[in-house]
Amino acid sequence: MNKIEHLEYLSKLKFSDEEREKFEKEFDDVLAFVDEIKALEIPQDLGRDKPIALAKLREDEPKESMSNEDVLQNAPKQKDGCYVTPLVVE
Amino acid sequence: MEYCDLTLIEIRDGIKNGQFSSEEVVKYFIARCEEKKSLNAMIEVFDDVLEKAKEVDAKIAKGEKVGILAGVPVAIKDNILCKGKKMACASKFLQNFVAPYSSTVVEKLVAEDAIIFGRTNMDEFAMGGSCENTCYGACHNAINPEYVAGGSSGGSAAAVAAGLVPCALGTDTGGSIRQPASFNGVVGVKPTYGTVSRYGIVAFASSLDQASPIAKTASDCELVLKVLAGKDANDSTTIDNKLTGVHKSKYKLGVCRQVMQAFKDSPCREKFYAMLEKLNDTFDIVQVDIPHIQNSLACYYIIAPAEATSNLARFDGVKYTTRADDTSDLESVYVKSRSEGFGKEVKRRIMLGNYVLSSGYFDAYYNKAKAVQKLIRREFKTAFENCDCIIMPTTSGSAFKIGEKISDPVAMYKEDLFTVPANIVGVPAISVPYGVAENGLPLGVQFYADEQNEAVMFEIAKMFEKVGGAK
Amino acid sequence: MSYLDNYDIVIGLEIHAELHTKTKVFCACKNQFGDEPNTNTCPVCTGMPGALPVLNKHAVELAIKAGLSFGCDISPYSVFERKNYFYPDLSKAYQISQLVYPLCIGGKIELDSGKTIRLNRIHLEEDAGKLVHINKAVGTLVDYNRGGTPLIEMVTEPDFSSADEVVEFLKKVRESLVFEDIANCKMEEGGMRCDVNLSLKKKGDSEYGIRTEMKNLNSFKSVQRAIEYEAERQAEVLATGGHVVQETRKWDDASGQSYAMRSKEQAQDYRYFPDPDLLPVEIPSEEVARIKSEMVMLPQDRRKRYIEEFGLPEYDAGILTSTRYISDYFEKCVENFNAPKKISNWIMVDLLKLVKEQEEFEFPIDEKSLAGIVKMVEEKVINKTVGLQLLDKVIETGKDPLVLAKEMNLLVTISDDEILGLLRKLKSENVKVAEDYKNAPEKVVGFIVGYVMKNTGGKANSAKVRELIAKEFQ
Repeated sequence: MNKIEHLEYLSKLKFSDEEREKFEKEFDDVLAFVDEIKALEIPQDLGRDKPIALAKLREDEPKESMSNEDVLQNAPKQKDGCYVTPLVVE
Repeated sequence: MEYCDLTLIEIRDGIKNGQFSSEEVVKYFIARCEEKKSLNAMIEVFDDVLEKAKEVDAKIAKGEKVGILAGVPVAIKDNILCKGKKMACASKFLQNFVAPYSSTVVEKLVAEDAIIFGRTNMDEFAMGGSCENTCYGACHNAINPEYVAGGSSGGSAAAVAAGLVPCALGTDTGGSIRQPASFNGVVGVKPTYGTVSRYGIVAFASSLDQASPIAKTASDCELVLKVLAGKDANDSTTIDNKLTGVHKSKYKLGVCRQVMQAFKDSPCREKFYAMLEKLNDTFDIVQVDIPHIQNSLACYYIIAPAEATSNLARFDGVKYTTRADDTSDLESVYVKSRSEGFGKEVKRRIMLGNYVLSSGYFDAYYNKAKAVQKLIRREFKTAFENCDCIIMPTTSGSAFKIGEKISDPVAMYKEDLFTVPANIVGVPAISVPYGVAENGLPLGVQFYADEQNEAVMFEIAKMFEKVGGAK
Repeated sequence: MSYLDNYDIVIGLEIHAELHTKTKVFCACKNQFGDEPNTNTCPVCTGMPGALPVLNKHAVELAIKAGLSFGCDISPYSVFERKNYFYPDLSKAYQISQLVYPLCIGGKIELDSGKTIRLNRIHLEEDAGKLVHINKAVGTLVDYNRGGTPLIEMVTEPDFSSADEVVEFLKKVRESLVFEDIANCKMEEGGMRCDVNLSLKKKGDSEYGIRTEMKNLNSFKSVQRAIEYEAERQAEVLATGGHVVQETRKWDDASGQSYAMRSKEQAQDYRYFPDPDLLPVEIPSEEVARIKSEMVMLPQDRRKRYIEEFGLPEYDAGILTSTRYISDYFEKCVENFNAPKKISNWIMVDLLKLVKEQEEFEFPIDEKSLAGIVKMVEEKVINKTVGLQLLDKVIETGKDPLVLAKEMNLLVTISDDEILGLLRKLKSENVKVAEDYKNAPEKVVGFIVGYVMKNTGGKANSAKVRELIAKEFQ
């Protein structure tokens, strides 16, 4: 499996051979363009992302949920209050 | 009355003072949308707008207290949820989707009695800079229909520029508000990250996305942004940005050496410098350095696709997106639905995102980009110690022709060079029109301010509109 | 001779426990089992476009409590990451979990043998929804009620060498989590789940073998059986010249066998990265101290106290600490009337039988009332039989036992003279008793007490009666 096919697998996408060929070329151009950052030298002391304090998190108080009808409003397939997929074999 | 010639504030005041009614205004804009249909800026005008306008008129007639946007129509980009209305992100994949809840921004507009007017065209899932990647057909530039409207909020910018609505919300992840605003000769703003809640707005790149208004003037944008801003219990990344600042008698504008270096081959270079000349009396102009600003673009095309690939994984044909036909097993539901549902540019970014996140590449791309992002942030901080705003072009040139760049993704990506840093750093920026390019299309200039310094940014933009602006 | 004789078993565990919160970990939907499908759901937990997670403070606190229970270090800075994979029970196609900066690091649990099992980490994450596989025609139904329930995942080091150790460990973990009210750990409802990583190592070798991961272990019994089965299976594979394949196996309780789950075409790549919708969480040491101060004494410590301080038998101490509720109840009774042994007897003999067979219960009498009754009996204001009547009445009416006892006229009100009168009457009517008493008082004293009790409706103070018998029959 080549790089593009592996990415298709991760992305749950499937290209035709023609699409894939075209895509591969474009993709390499894009990579060449973002590759510039690989060579950059970066100082070590850049610090961490700003956190939120534990005390500021959401209180554990329930709120009303959405109606089952609204939840499933856009479902392409539904049954007995559930979304439906083809039978999943584990 | 030609309401399309009025600013949002003028329309708001006219309704409030009883010069005209919201119903009249809304009727006018509905007719105008019909007239300018070929522009393809509006996907849909919502069917309840007249009814809502009458409700506001009735409130005003009874002397009830109304909100600060009472009766004013505001359009929303097609990635913002308004309960009960269709929302598709201009994607075939979501064409039948009806919003089951409302975004915080819509609720805030409604709380101020604005009329949610309709939804505007965009690049699919906000990915693109031309508004050509859309299942509704390309949106045309409001000044010249042979040219692109810009993107991804092309519909919002073109709608405002063509006078279809006094204000439209867009979203800006790497310039998606400011670039189309510039291409259409209107004002677009991207606030400090976290100023506006992202709840109920379809995520592209969560750490960069901000929704905000496009309107005719900086004052219009400021007013609407004030309505949208605020900490939201539904969005952990929101901040309490009061949009206030310290007024000064004279402001210092920074010109970034590295930006001008990158701009040196632009055909619009002369015009930009001529405009800068005119500002000398009003502002102090100083040079600033942001050594790694150009690397923002590479950071952006790593971080944004990485987040996007994960954000868009939920569109899988199971819960709400269209499910492909002939799918007898789960894998084909996923693969077929997504392959048929997403457009080309979206697929490209999903693939790119998975590449930079995948095992073995994560450190070299994603982690490195996050580190470079911090470095650029630090450089901006230093720059803002020496100036109040940084002035730079919004784009390297004016709008290009429809179809011109659609097959060259890298050329398209490089269009974002001057807008992307604001998102990478998280600071506010506004694009204001300042002139006309050789091809007769508008040019925009940006003012970048330090985080949560929007008040100063707006004040400078308003001053600029008087001394250096297009009108 | 078993194939296993030449090998050491090496086991590590991943334990998931659903936290006992009111709401889900990233939205305010109820965290509740057993409701109609997709009714405890909202845009966030069904992964609708535009929805954003907001972290539940209590879930973080409970995870920290779990960490403190097992001696983990609590991270001052913790990050939530997205674990990306497609599966219908995962509404967003990613699970919000933790990788690089988990909430709790390290920790250990000691087994009865003295052996220490080291923990690698405890992190907080969200549970997936539930899938119900109907048939080919209907398909699989997806219910997100459970989706977004807060889970802790405890990961141990590969320190176990037998199924018995694993089961003992799991029981200890469950006991602590239930006791602190961190989780209810109902295995049959999926409230506690365990994945077993097992490999074999040739005796004397230092190199580990290839391991398999076993899932779907819904009871301690199935954990035990699955481990024994898998160890034998691997030993047989190795002994017959084969290789163990690194795979995930599903345990089937009915057949007593495990099966390799449909193998993925390639190794999973979860593409973890920090969730940009959530900020890192900062946990100051004062908060950790506060949470620690809110924790109660753990069951093993309480048992020790009951045995050493209260002088209870080990068996009784075990029952009294079998749940947090019983233990707290017992301790509160003792606070009201300091007679731990007597209180223990009442709970063990008279109260527990009232709630027999119930899994979740509350005793039908409050601690203060029970202590009140025990006190009356111990102070001989009433006898035990009357005490039991009183217990029934208190349960029936909910009234204060002393008030009731007075109302019912149960309190001892028989005067010494009345008792003496009865004794004299007995003496005159039954000469033999008086004689027998002189010869062997211990043989008839019970009869005499019974006589007085019978004639006073049980209200005489039996000690007093004995005292007067001694005087009158001397």
